[in-house]
Amino acid sequence: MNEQVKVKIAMAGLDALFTHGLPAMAKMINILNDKEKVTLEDIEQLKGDLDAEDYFK
Amino acid sequence: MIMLSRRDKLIAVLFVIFLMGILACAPSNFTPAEKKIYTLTKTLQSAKQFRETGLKVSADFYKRGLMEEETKADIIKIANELQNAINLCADSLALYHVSATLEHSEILEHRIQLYQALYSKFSTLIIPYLIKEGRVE
Repeated sequence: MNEQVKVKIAMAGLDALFTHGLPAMAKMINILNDKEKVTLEDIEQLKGDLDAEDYFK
Repeated sequence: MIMLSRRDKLIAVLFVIFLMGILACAPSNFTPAEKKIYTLTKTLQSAKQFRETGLKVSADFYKRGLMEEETKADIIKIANELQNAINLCADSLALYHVSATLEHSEILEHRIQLYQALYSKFSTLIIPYLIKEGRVE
């Protein structure tokens, strides 16, 4: 294969990596990092009644 | 078999290091305070769930006459104290969520210690029943 063609293929590969590959990877990492942040409502739902006795009735 | 030259191997290794660097430096959408809030919230959610499961299983044992009154009283007392500790942690966590100050962080840490001690006590009481039920090996 001609050297110039090899260089062009390599450049196209790098271009694809930077324009599509890396943003996709960053997006995937954010998904893996649990992108959903905790809200005050989530924290409020942690609260509960002191109802242990009710289970035994 | 494909034979790689030393140069190609070096390029491959450098590329892998480059990718690992990207992975390590990838921006996370969580600040340290948000990470703390997230971890604690998930921990407390699972604790609340464990309390509920533990109470259901132990109440079932009690209703089948397989638990003494004294044990039942202990479980009720510790389960209520545990929920109270979770409620206190939730209050502190909400304050920390609004304003992640050092003061709020210290109060939260103190309450988390209380919660951990009660969770440990509750687990000690409940785990024998979960094992008997085959829920824990």
